[in-house]
Amino acid sequence: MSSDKRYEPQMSFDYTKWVYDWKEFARKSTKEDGPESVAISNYLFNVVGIDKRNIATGGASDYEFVIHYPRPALADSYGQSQWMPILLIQALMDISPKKRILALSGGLDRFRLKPFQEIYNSQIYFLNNKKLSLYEKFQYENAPIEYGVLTQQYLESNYNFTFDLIIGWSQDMENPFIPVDLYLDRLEKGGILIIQNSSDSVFLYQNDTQASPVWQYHQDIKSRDDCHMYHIPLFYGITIVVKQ
Amino acid sequence: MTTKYDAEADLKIRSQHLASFMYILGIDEEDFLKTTIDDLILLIRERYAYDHDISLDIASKEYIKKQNISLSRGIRRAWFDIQFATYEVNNVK
Repeated sequence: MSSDKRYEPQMSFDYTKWVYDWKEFARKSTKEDGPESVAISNYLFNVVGIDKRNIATGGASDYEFVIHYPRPALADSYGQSQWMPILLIQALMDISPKKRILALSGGLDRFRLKPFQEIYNSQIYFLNNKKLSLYEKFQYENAPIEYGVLTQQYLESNYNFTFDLIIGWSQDMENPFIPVDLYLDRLEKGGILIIQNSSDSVFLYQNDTQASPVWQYHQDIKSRDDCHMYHIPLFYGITIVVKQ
Repeated sequence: MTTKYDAEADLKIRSQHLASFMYILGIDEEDFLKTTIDDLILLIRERYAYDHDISLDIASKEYIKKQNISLSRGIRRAWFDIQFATYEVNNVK
């Protein structure tokens, strides 16, 4: 490691050898993400009339209209830590392509799901929630995906409807009435549950204590004997659970 | 299974979640409709009161803190979801 305060490689990723044109896709995604986020926040606060106090109390922390990914337009030596979790998920798909995917946070993962469908021909299902509605209204045009929709009620009552990849964010796991076990039970053998933002989300609570739903759902996963869990505290943090 | 966002189904499940939170807080069912989010948050702050001095953390305070945080955040998110789904049910065809 150099004497610099921050260790960063001098070069960004070399996209030129990749079959899929990630560089162009990432450039396009970044360009479109900003205006879409503005349109979503305008809709939420000026059209629907959401209580603005939600910004400080769980609205913005649900990521309807703030940071989405990827953000590759940063300087070459800067974006590495953001790219790592993105590439890690891509690597998992590359090693073990998943055919049936449930996305819990709607358009928040559109930049991942669209290439998954195009490269691996994955079948995509969205969970029925406000993020899906926002995807349909504001994000579908620029990142169209073929998908089915499952309501929470349907998911809860159909035990045999399973997936080999479930992708969500920490806030999807923090509702005490939708335990993480519900999703793990819907995973096939060898299936993967990906929980993003599982480090950063803890800062929304009191991160010096165990008094947080983030701590709770990690404990719940640890208590199962049919799963291996890996937490990688890189950038926003990612938790990967593999069902045996 | 559907192919589009189903606002009515979303509103139904989110309302169930909010009702469950209200039951936990001991609110009578007949008072549900006249209870505001401010009422709920103030009730939580009053009932699960704790100070922020982490040097004095003890197990009982951890427990109270956890109840406070889980209930506040869950209720705020449920309220937000209900506001959104209600608008969609009433205004979006």
